Amino acid sequence: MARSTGKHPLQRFTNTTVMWVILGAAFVFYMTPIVWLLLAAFRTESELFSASAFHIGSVDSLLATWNNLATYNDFLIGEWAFNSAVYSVGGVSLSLVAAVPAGYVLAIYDFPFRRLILVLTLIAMITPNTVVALPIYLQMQALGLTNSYLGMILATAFFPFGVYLAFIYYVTSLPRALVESARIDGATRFEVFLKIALPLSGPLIALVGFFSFLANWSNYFLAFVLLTRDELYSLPIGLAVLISSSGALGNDVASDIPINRPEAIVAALLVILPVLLIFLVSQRYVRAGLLSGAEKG
Amino acid sequence: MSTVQFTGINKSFGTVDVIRGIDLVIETGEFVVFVGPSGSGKSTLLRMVAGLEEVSSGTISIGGEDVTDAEPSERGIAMVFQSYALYPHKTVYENIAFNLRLHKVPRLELDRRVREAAAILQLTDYLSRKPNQLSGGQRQRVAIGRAIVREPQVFLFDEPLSNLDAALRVEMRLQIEKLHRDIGATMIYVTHDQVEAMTLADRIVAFDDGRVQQIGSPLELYRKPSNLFVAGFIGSPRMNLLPGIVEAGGLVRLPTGEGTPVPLPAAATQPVGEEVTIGLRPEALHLGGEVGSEPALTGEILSLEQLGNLSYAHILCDGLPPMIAQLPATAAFARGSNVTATFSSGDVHLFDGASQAVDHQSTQGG
Ligand SMILES: Nc1ncnc2c1ncn2[C@@H]1O[C@H](COP(=O)(O)OP(=O)(O)OP(=O)(O)O)[C@@H](O)[C@H]1O
Ligand SMILES: [Mg+2]
Repeated sequence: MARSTGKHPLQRFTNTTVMWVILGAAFVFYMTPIVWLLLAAFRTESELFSASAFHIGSVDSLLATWNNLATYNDFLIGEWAFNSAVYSVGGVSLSLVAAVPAGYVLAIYDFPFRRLILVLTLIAMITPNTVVALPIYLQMQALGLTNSYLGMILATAFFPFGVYLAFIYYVTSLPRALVESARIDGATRFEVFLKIALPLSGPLIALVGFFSFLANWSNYFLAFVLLTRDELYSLPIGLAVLISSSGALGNDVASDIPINRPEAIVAALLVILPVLLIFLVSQRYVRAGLLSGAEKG
Repeated sequence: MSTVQFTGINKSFGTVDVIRGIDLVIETGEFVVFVGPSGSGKSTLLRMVAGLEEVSSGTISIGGEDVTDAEPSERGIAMVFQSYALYPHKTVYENIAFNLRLHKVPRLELDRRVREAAAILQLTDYLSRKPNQLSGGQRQRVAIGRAIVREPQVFLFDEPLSNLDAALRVEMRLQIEKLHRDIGATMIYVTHDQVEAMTLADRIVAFDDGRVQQIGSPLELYRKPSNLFVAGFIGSPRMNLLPGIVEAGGLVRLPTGEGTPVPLPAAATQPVGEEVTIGLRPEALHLGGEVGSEPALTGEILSLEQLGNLSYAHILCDGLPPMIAQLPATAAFARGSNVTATFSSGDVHLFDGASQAVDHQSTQGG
């Protein structure tokens, strides 16, 4: 690329400087809350109030906070974390199994009502899931699936955004000639999907998996409606209930449970952490290059 | 028997007619090239043979068997795509073997056939590579290897060489020609490239607007284009096409003040006053002659293209579209100078008002 050729060196310098200043300012502006959150996990309740905004606390105080969280009802949060993992992994698996082939078929083949299905997918995708939480609750209650792993997993497996992602991926990234070539080679439609499309779908599976996990892991409202027994709570519900019942965020220290602001902060980090890890793992697969060599160039 | 027969083939996409009434028989072992401008329906017709596109009406049979509604894999065809369409996650070996694996060919036979195909295409050293570790020419050879391993009755090629550079294209062209000689299968080949069409084809089918314009050997199409479209399409640089009007005495008057009228072929029965088109190949024009016994046109040399072995002169005669004349490389003409181009009336192609050729072989009767 011949970028900024022919420009005066001084002008080039000013341009880069301006660019860095803007990027730097944006970085500081948006990173501050996150840094604050990370630092706050190391501080005690009183330090949160009295010390300066970026006061660095101690590992001891983090451990004490963690201890307060963990000892609550014999490590009940461990059970919640386990529940969350089951709900999420179950939901992710089912949604992958359903969304990826659905998007593939919509992208590759023409059949009656294809457009209608696409439009419905889009509508379902932009419908906030809180809107359907109540109908889902009624449905699950009729089926006797409230307060059950299966109910939560079935409810979250419906993932129209994943269908749409898969559709876009196959439309844009899977050359039609590959499918046609495999058909001529004698592969059935299912074999084309299994032996040609699926092995090339790493980035798609990582993306759909990540977004599905994100949606399930942080799904609050649906879990709130479907789950009433606290040993079945997911992590977000459990922590929210715990924090609000302990009055941690109120100003009157009402409760005798040692759950206060530092505990709330560590709980928040606890919810974020798995998402971060899954993201780091999945983004490695979201890389171009899987399809290189199929076509010219 | 691996003839390919089209009977009354039509194809439309929605309301757009893309193929209009094709009737064509391709003989066993024949190498047929489809040519035509972009959008004329060549690929569509080829894809209908492959079963990748449904026909709107008509029938296609391969080897005497009606395959109009057959699955692509049931037609005994193999197709080489312009984009190669290699399976990127499979090695060269597995790319070539894929079809055989799907058909549960025993392991030893599979291995033998894959290695045979690889040997023919000099791919033996690359069998364990993935497609993205190959050059464009090697990828194209893999695509061809994938086709030949299946021993199809009919090969279909859709512009297989158009992504390659010029030198490689020549090499691959010779390889495809050799392949045809060696295995003798029927081949249908779509191309834009004049040289590929002229050198590979037993017969060329020229398409325009979803219709067959002419079918014949390369030289037939070159020497006796049956209409204006083929005349303009076959040959590079293209034939000079000049408008004229028939006048009394068996002559065509060109709308230029300079030069002489062109005699009509003896067989021509065009009435006086009909608007016709005169066609002259660049090599039919001889520069530097005198206005005399032969028909002639006089104009100015706009530019000269020297290709080393020969040159092309672009000539503008008053009132006529620019013309191209082919010169020997040794000819010395200056840009901007005035020249006279003479031609023998035997080299004149005449097209009537409906753009159809008036047979020029009978010109002057000797
Ligand atoms: N799936 C499709 N839907 C609608 N129109 C199509 C479709 N495929 C092809 N066409 C149209 O059919 C016509 C013929 O297309 P085709 O690809 O056969 O042309 P072609 O002769 O192979 O051209 P090129 O030389 O550019 O490859 C074009 O006008 C094209 O726009
Ligand atoms: Mg084409």
